[in-house]
Amino acid sequence: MFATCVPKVWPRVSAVWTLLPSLSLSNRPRVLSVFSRDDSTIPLPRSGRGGPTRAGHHARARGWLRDQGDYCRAGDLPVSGETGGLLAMMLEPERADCLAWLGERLADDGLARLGRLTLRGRAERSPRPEIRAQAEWVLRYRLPDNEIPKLAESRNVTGGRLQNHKDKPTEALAAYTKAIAADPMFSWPYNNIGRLYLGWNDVARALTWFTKALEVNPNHLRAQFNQGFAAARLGRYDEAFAAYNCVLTMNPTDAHAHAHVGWLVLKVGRQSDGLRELQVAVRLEPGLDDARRFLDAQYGREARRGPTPFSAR
Amino acid sequence: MTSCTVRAIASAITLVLCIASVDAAQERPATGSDLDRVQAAFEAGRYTEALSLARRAANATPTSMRAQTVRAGMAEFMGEFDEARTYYDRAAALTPDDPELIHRTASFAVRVGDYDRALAQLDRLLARHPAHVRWLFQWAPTSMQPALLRDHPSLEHVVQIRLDILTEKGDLAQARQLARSYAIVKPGVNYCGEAQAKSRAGAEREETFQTFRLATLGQPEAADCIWWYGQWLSDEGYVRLGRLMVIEGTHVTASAANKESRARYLKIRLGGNREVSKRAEQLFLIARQRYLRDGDLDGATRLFDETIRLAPTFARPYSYRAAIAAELGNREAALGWLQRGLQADPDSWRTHRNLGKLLSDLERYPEAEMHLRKTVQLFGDDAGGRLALARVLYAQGKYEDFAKEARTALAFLATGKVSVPEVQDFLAKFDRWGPGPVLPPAPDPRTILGWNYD
Repeated sequence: MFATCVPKVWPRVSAVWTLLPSLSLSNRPRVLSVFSRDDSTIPLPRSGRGGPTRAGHHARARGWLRDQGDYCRAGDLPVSGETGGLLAMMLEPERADCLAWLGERLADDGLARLGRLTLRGRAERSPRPEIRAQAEWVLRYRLPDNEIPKLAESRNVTGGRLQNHKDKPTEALAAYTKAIAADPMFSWPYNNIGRLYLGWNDVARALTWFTKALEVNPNHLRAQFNQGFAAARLGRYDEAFAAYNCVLTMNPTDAHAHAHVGWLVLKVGRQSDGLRELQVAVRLEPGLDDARRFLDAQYGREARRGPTPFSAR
Repeated sequence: MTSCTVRAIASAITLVLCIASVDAAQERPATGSDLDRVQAAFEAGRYTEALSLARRAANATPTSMRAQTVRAGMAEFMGEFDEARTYYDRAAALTPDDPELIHRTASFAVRVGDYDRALAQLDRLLARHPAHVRWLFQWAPTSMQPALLRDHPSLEHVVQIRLDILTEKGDLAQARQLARSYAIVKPGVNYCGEAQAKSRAGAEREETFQTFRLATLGQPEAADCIWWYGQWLSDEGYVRLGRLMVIEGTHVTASAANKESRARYLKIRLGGNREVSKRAEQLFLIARQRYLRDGDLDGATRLFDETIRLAPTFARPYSYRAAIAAELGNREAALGWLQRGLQADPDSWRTHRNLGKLLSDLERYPEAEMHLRKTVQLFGDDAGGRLALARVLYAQGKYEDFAKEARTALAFLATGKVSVPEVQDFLAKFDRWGPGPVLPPAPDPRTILGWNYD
């Protein structure tokens, strides 16, 4: 019956997508058992001294060995992407570019040591210049610039879990303090203490800790961003601008930094500069709803959505 | 979940299934992932890439109605109207009776000002409803229409787009009659009062906008609201409808002073009687979005040039060409575009203002003064323009004039409770110490609806 086929809304151009079939990217078949594979004929990787590596023996014992395997893409391996990346690092280091992304994720998880280990290899050995550049960037701005003792790293991770998952900020502060005691040159716990004080709404003290983090490591991107945020909250706009400018020097595509600069610039009355910064931010990160709504108010609704002012809404 | 919601969801599912069944018989199945990529690029705001992917998908599957429609839709979205027309036609040739496609082609026809074609498409759409529904839609009394439109939302959209078409064609009397007969507006309701109350209360902008629209349809005597609606539209760039509303408001008002001020608004803000076609207006609106939102300077430049070709006396695109030239570091070219804009429309307040400010940036103060004086002469309440003029006067050592203009601007801003502390501070220091080496600040606060942006 035709009536049910008649569209129910005046069509918007963007609504054409509702007609498209949904193709899920996540319905790749799950991993099959690898223990049925016969990998006894695959030669074990050799160490620099000529003998088989321990990693090779370990991988064979678990059925993870692949002939000339590209472990970064081995969809049939029954391991996580992270383990796949580490296998690639140990067994096929020439084809381990997935470590460039993995290293950054490890940094997000607080695993500074492993992150540095994975990325140093990429920065030195990747055949692709863009991967080398990416690894160098993460090493420089997202990871500590010195080797961190295991104890300091662990205490900082513990602090993070207490702060973010257990909601125990006081205990987290103690853990971060111990991390600093274990390695005073590790900037992450300083930054995390600053975040704790932000949570307690003690912005001035937070700013002090972010500044300490940057004294220890001037390339600490997140501390730099947080310093800008805290300075702006305190109305110290020049300091905030300087901090955000440093962030944007380190990472010109940081959407949030562009957005924060945009709001600040608007606050000090430089309308067109502020709008431009917000535009850049929304282009880089379309999910920045506040900025998007503000721009809508400035430029009118997105006129492309419909042919009349009524239908464009 | 209400029964209405259930109905709406069921209808939506049926709609998709209907289209899927038509498609299944006709197209190669391989386009899903291509179109998924188009969708992903579109949703991420990468519109140029989305259009490019849509072109590739449509070329790869010329018998796919969906691929042709997606390409047409993307081309329309990006202001590539000739391409959109071609691909809507191709899609229609593949599935001539597809209701969604008929709907889209009607929408596109409105976009380019082909109103008769749009109405014909709406009639085709209406003809696809069962006979009894059509009969009720045409003949049932007004009291029954809300229920009918609620049960058949597509009919409400047919009514709404007809209202838009009639309004854009300038036939407000028929639009109002249509709105009344389908109970879009009801007698005795004070939509204008509601809109003003919402505006004062700082309600959601869109809600306020819709109420102003209802006021223009339901209260032909509400001159102030019709006028405000026109100014709102002018700010958003809908200069055609904005002009119609301002003219209607001027026609209705009894006050001679209001008639005079509205005639002036028409002249200095909306180009007087200079014609801008619907196609040119839409190209301009899309070019503006491509420039401001997308940062797509090349695409925007092309569309602005096309707008100027279609409507050479329309001042706004010249200002945008100037802005693009300035952004690319070519200020002389920017000056050239603004001067061309003034040749096209010598009474364009905004163009004088933009030119004055650019000349001020270039430290060409005497010329800047001339254009900024013209700016505030055209629109005396332009506080931002007056502050820009004050700065130019200061730069030339005309300190008394500077102080006079700055004070006038501050006094006007104070009436709207707008504070510009940096100007107040500067003026206080000037009063105490006299002139210094630093030029005064010239912020540009937004104060009055209808004068904010082009």
